[in-house]
Amino acid sequence: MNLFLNQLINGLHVGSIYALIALGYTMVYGIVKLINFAHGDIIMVGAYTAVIVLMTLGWSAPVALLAAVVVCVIFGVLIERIAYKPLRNSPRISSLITAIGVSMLLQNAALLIFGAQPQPFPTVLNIEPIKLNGIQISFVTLLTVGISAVLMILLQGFVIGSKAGKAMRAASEDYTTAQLMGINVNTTITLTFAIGCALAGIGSFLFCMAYPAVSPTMGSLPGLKAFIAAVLGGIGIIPGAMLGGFVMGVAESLTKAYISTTMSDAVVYGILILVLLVKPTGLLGKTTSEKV
Amino acid sequence: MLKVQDINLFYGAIQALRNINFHVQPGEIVSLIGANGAGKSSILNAISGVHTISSGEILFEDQSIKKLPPFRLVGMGLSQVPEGRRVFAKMSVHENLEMGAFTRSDTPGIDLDMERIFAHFPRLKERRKQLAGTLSGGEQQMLAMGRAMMSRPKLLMMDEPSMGLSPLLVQEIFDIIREINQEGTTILLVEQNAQMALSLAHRAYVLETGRIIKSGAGQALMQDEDVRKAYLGG
Amino acid sequence: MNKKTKSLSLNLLATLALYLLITVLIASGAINNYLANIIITICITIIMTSSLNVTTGLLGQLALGHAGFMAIGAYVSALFTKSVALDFGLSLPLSLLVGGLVAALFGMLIGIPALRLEGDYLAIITLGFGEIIRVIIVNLDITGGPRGLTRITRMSRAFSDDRLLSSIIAFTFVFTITALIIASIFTLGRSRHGRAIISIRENAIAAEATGIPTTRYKLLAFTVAAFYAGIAGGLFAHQTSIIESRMFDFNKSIEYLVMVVLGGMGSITGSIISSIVLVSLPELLRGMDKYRLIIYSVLLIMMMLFRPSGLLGTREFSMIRLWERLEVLWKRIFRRHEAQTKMPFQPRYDVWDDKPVLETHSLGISFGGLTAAEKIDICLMNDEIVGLIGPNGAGKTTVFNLLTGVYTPTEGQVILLGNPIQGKMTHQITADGIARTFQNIRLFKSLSALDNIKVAFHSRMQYSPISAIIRDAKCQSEERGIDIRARELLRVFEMEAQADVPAGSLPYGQQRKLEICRALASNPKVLLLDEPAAGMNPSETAELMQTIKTIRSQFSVAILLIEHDMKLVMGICERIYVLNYGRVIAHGTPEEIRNNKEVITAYLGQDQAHTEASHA
Repeated sequence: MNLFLNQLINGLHVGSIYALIALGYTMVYGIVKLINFAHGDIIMVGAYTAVIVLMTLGWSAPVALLAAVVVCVIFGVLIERIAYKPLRNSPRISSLITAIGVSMLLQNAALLIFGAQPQPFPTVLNIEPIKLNGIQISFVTLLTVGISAVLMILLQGFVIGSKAGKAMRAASEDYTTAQLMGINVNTTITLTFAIGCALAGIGSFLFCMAYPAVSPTMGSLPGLKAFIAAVLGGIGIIPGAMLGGFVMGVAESLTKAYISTTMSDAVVYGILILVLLVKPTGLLGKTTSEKV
Repeated sequence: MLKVQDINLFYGAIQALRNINFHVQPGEIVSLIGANGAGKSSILNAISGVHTISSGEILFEDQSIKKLPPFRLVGMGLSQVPEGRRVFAKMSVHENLEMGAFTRSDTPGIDLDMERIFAHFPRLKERRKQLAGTLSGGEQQMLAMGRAMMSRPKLLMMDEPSMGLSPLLVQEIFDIIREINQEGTTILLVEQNAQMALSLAHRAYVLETGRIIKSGAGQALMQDEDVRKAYLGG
Repeated sequence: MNKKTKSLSLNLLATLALYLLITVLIASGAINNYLANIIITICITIIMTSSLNVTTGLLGQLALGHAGFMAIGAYVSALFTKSVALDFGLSLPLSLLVGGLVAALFGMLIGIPALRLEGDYLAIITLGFGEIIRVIIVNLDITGGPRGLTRITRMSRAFSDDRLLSSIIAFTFVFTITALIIASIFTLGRSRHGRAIISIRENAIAAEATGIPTTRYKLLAFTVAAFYAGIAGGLFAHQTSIIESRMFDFNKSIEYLVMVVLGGMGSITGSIISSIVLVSLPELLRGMDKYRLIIYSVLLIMMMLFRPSGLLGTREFSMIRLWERLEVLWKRIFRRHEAQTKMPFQPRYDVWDDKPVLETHSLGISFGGLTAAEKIDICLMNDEIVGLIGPNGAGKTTVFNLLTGVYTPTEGQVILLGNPIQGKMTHQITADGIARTFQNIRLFKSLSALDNIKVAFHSRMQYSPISAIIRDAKCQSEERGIDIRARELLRVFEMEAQADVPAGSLPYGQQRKLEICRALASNPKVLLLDEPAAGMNPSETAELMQTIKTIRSQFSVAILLIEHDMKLVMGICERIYVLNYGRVIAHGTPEEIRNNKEVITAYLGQDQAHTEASHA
């Protein structure tokens, strides 16, 4: 039972990181219908930024976090402007391939600059884990889950209530008409990328606290899983990304504990396929059939 | 109020508009009629900046707007009801109307205008919490019109408001257009339903293959032999 | 020598020359083992990309797990040659076949979700399956787990004791298989089966409504693609001699996808060119190892920014007709008996005079408690033109969807030519004799007008995918037959001149006409027209009225039409049904309807009734 609860907590920990990253995928997908393959590599960018600030410059953790967020946002916005914006009226697959290209570029540039050797991420928080009847909850876990939950609620409120959020929703339905309402669609899309990348920046910091090794390809796997989480929850839906992240994280850590470490990916994909077969638009997705 | 001077528009190699000249005076209803592909919608899209013209000039209140991106025009008082309604299906009726007022920040004024629109379209008020995608075609047309009016436009451009609507609804929509005009909004109307459009318009222009071939008062064009033959079915 | 045979000989010669050139170069030692290996890699890559192009380019579904099928083929065929004690020259082709078939089986399994899912969701499923396959391979004993399979017989050594001879045979073998696969994808793509697959890409709903069993064709495309990927995998295993599961991961699938998109989706020749370039490029950049992948990714981005639809778009290089031409030559040499042209048209001669061709009995449907239509009783006599009118949202299109099986009725019956058809699939109902057009035109936009019509002949043709690949007599005679029929149909609508114009670039009025034309190609007894006059002005509408009358007399169909244009409805309909709130509120002759109080208040309005009356 304790093992189960501990694994559940681990799952929530990882899951909330996936969720944070998934939010970025889901928002970008919602508005430009692009699977932004480079989003995972933004995590890597954030992680290296944090390492440089912490180790090379020797500054404090909050500064490092802030720096990670800022650099991620800058990268995200630049990528959007240079690589995706010119392709907005092209076939969707072209921007997908461009995204793959950007992802490769980021990874290989990092490889060139930092080398393939993983760099350790320093411990930034050294607080005793909380023990409850044999269940151990580390402070990092609490912090991670807490931050993710708060950010998601804020984001959801922003998208539903604020003017910019409504502009995002309008643009995600129909660019042209949104423009006729006086919405600057380009700005709106840039804002979406910026928010998504800011979340990825925070996510990358939390990820490094959980898995303290920074390498050029570190972003691919959590990126892919976060994307799967976004689809699982229903792509384009903010609470869906959160739910999908948690389901993925928990499923993964329980499989690792009870079945086999190597099979955990298969189980995760298996869940995804089952969910999509039963509910083709994801857990929280609304079924909209095309009107004939 | 609106002056269109010698504009040309190309889609790739195809020329959609050739030397189009026309103007709209304040307080008028002006109609553009013509066959499919004659270029009616292209004119609206050229004015609103959705398509970029290759030559010519478009003046709105003596200011050139040909280089402005579409989203800048709303603030200047130019608003468009797009063809096929294009309401935001996943947003509520209320939110759709709010989007119409996107460029405004005077909350009391917005609330007032919303009530004004609900007075024109009582059916929208009943459904204000509903998602726009669940409305019927006629209600969506009303919503699209209401949404465009939320920006308090000086000039309202409407693209085929009668398309796909039942005769009863067409009458209702045209009655409302007249009301809106009488309240002081200038209207530029693109219509397939020439009968209705000409009976409503102060002045009208007839388009054929990207050119304006005739113009005149609505009633006068209705009596015109060629127009009767081509667009009024006898 | 005519033009066809000349260009055939040219293509054939080119292929042969390429083969001979490489063979001679290998034999002379100018191409060393290293280069010969790269050439074989290129061939394998070509098989992978052109098969991926079947799902991604022709069917239009993004597939992100193509390397998974390759893995299955590789492992199965490697295990086969390892465990079967046969001469390598025999066991290798057998192993490829087995590997291909097992991969095809998985392709079919993965295709099943494709029946429910669309677009990006389907892409994710294929990604998931690909990864699952890989993880399972890692966890099995028979596949050697994470260490993989080693010491697989290397084909460049095993064909003969003489190494040079062996590597020439290996090259010949791989080159032939590649050429055959490419040719088969071409011939399949240009047959009725290929048209069916492409029509799904263009517009799935219209494809089903023109009689294409879309589910079956999605499965076919996935299966064929997986089969070829499996063969490629088998070749790969016997090329490298060592296989590990990580060779077939997500990145590998992406690599092939990139090649397909760069070459141009739907262009097989594009796939071939980009395979050659992208396999050789890293080799050329080998000198600057460190920057190689950076250059590669920058090139990739630039390429997409400047040529977003790939190198060739959907166009093909001139090798397209190689196979067809081969056969022309074949016939010329052996004077084989000319195949008879078979006409697919078998008009229905059943006399239905005074009996309804279509009737419904208290037809209805409710969506989760919400009744969209109920107690609909309508009937159409032979050759009758009947109108269906009513306010927006009254359920007119719902009735069409019930008749054509887009929705399954929750109550009541639909009887077509005396047989109940409710509950059947749309494509079956189309084949049974109901065709329709759509409110917002749904043509196969990038197909030519002629091909749009040919797609609709699908349900009346019989030749199999295999006959399509080998272009046998049956396939040829049927294809010739529908070509004649389709052109005849275009002529009736005075559109022969537009036969080769892509449907999407026709003017609006002609698109509407073409859609009607396509509906007629499936030889219907009942034609449903959904707002045919929408967006037309009175003179266009008048022309349309003539067309509808012509159709009725020339094609002997009963027509049911939804329309708001009262001039058209009152002008040509013999009877009219009026719908409101999902029920028939009135029915009768135009005169009766015009004067019906209920119809005036619900739909026509006082003015309209007046205007129309005064016109009449």
